[in-house]
Amino acid sequence: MPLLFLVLLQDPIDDWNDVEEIAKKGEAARESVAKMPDGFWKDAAIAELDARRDAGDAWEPARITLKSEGPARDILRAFAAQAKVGLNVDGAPDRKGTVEIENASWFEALRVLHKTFEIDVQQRRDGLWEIASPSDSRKAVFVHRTFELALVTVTRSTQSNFKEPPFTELVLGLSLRADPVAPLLRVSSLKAVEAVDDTGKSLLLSQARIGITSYRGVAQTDRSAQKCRLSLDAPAEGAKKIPRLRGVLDVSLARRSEAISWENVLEAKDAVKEAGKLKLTLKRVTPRGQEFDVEVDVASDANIADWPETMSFRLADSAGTLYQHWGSSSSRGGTKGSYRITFRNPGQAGDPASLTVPLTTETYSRKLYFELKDVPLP
Amino acid sequence: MIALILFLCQDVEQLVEQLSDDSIEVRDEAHEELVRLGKSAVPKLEELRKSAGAEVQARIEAILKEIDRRERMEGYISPPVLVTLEAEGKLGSIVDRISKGLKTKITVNSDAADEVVKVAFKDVPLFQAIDEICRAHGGLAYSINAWDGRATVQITKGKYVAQPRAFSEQFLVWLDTVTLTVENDLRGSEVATGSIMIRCAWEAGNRPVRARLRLQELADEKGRSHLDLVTNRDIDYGSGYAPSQFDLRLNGVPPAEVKKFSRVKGVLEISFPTDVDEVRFDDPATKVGTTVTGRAIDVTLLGFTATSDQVQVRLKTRSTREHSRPEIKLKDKSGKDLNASRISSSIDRGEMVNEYTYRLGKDQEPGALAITALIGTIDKSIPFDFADVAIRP
Repeated sequence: MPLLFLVLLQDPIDDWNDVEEIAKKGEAARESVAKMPDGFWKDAAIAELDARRDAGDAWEPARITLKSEGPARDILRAFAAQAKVGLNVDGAPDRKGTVEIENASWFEALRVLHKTFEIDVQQRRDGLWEIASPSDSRKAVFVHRTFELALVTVTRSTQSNFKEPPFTELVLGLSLRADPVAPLLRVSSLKAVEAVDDTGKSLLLSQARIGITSYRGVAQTDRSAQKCRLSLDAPAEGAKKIPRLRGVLDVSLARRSEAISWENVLEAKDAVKEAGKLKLTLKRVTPRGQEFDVEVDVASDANIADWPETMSFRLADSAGTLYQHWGSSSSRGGTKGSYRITFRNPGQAGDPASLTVPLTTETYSRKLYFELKDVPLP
Repeated sequence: MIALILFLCQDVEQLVEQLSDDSIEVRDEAHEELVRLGKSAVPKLEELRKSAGAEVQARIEAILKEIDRRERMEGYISPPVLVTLEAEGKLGSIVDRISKGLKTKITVNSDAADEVVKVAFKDVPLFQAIDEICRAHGGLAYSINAWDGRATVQITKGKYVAQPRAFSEQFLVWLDTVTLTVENDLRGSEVATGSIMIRCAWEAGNRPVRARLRLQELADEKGRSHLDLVTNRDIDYGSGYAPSQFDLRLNGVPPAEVKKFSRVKGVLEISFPTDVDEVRFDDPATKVGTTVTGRAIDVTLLGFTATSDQVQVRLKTRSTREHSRPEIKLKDKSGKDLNASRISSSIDRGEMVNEYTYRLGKDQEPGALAITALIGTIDKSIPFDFADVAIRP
């Protein structure tokens, strides 16, 4: 094995599998990688080593082994237990199947489940996972150990703004999802570094028009995913595909999360709790008939990178029965924010007893190099 | 200052005397002049009303009402600014001359301030005057930031481009962008859609309450109409909201050989209120349960609860004539508006019940509660007809 490793590091890195092999070695491989000829996969390998170092002990994704035959619900429950996620299996198909998964990553396991039961999973805003229909055609997908980048749409867009001549560009709609171990907070940039259509025309735009734009107006139903778009130059007349598209994303991820709770909430007034660098103050819980208004202030010494989701606040009675979210308003920015959330008694709950808020307390950023093959052109 | 007040009082006295003149023209002119004098004439008018005969008294009352109405309408509609200019000089100083006393803010980038321009025009609306200046120079561009329609103008160095624009009095309508897309969802279907973005701006000092855009013609260079592609040819958000941009959506795109629209024609209709009704509760904590009757709305204060950091207000409004959605403002003791942190509305047996929560800052105490509703409308039509609009390379 030491001999094989040495041989590998002397050769240039040719594809993502080589990067994975290097990354598995960790910091021991860094010096050798630095000596390799410059190139896309060398940058990718360095980014992987950086990311694993920066993630610290939050890095290690779960590995899944499942050899089972039976109802979809039972198999999905077993999958969720190994992946250590809360999965609501209510939407699972009412049929049986056989799966064989060995030491697989989250996305490798999902691909087997997709093939067997034609299902996918998505994360709700409250953090729980649920069964979903496969959301894209997966014609061009890049599967990383902890990420999956899928091409969702390819659009030719012609624009006239009457300040310059009309121009046409190609816009790729992409969806990035992350393993539950690396909760994805945001994509801060996306750029192509190689894009040539099958006629040989380079589709890279001048720096001014490369960038990330979130899909505005598209409902984000999957909290584990981020949608983004990549603008490229218009392909040549008659071009059918982009044989190879390479690019790099800058993403922010959660390194550490924890949940904080208050008890006896009806008596709480300006009750302060701290988690990491965040200070949360439960100002009051005010009864309004069947509804309760909960007011919470959030503050930190530094800019807050990941604000708590209003839908993730949980108000429960002493038996743990959850109140329903009934409305919310919040103002947040910089180092301070305030939330006002109205909960409604689902009917049988006792008085509110506890309030729980899950929080991201530490974040880190990383670069993600990707390669998509055979991107079809409209 | 004393001399000025004396002069004004004598002036008001003379004008009030003219209100009983035998000539109708003299009476009307005096009426108009007294209205024009505005708030400054009110104390003397009120004093003279007491000793006037019945007929003059009625005329003074009508004048006081009109002054009050115009006072309340200030900021809703202002006449267009007409610019007359015959000058050759640096852009910075020419814009300084135009901007003097204007509500619409015009800024010149430092790189353009020393550019020399030569222009001559008479009684041209402000936006058109800016366009003429940039066109005459050829190397100046301008952009209008029309957030909420209240325009600010910025002139920069850059090639002048004759964008599709329509000028009319204090208004400007322009074609901002045309976008045509063909999207492949990778499941075997391609969807063609598009958008025609039309924007508008009005000079500062105007506050319309409704803006409606109607597209009447959309034709290509061969005369074929593509109006059927537009799914929302009539965009009207209804009373109370005047947007500054209109997104006409296309369900499909013209065939690939169409490179231009030969005609994009339509009309923008803008409405302004003619009057504003205000219902007021001074010291509202003591007025819970009372009803105040206005000219368009009756308001009952159902609840008013103040704590150290917030105030909860609950009130019911009943309409007695057509008006815009009422605006509910709570002021602090110094007359400053407080921010509403939560608003909810419901209908109770045909009457609107509004619940507002206002945040109180440190050392702030709640003051008066004012509910305003806009009544009546003046409509302005701004036609646009853009030719030779390039839509494809």
